[in-house]
Amino acid sequence: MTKIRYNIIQLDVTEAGQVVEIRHRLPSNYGRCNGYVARHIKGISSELDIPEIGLLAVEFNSRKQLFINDLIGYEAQVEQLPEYRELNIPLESGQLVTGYYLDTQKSPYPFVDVKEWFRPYSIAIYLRCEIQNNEQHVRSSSIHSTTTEAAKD
Amino acid sequence: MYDHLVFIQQQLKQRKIEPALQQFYRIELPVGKSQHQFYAYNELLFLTNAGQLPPGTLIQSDSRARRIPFDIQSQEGIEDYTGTISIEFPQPLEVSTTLEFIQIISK
Repeated sequence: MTKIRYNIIQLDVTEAGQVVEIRHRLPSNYGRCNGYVARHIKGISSELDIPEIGLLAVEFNSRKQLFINDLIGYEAQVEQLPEYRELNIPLESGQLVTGYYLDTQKSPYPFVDVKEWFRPYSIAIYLRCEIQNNEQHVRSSSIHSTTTEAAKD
Repeated sequence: MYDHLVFIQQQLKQRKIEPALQQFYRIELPVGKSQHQFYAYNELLFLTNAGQLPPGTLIQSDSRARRIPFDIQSQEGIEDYTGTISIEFPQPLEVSTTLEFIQIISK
């Protein structure tokens, strides 16, 4: 049976138009990512839904594969948690998840600059990954056996 | 000393990208321009003259986004962009400006 683990990348946006860089290392025993959800989690309060608050790009395996380009919106009332969107990314052990989030909010008031109206907020990227089935500590056990053989000589 | 070409070669090797062509690529933008969008699919464009762009300029692509800092000395190295690339200047250009890239077309 495949074991599933969830990994959360939280990004804090503190300025209007900010580019937030993503540099995140996944645990080295993750073998594959098969789903993601990216959403606003705190900071924005509006009575209306906002279809776009920012743009998200995520690359896997230390910039070898660009897999996610997505719009992030704001939901005033969350009635149902969004379903995971499908991914199928074999992971190289210990590599970085990189990318960026760009705040693209516009002021809803025509004569108010977005910088005056802006309030800090956070978004989260939830990654759903499978644990690698390989035996762990292979390297350390091979070192041990070599040492044992050397000791025999 | 920091060498753009060596850095690019190392990046390509680390990311297992095999170049079919490497060349210089320039885009000249006239006075008054405040936004420019172009496409670079299946290729990488390394911006080499970020320091000559107005502070506050936003460069955005499918893979990377960067706002040119006001403290221009903090701009480190060169970065690559791919896909749909959009350049937004904080104000319309007062002088004509050239964007200089090293273009890598991958096999």
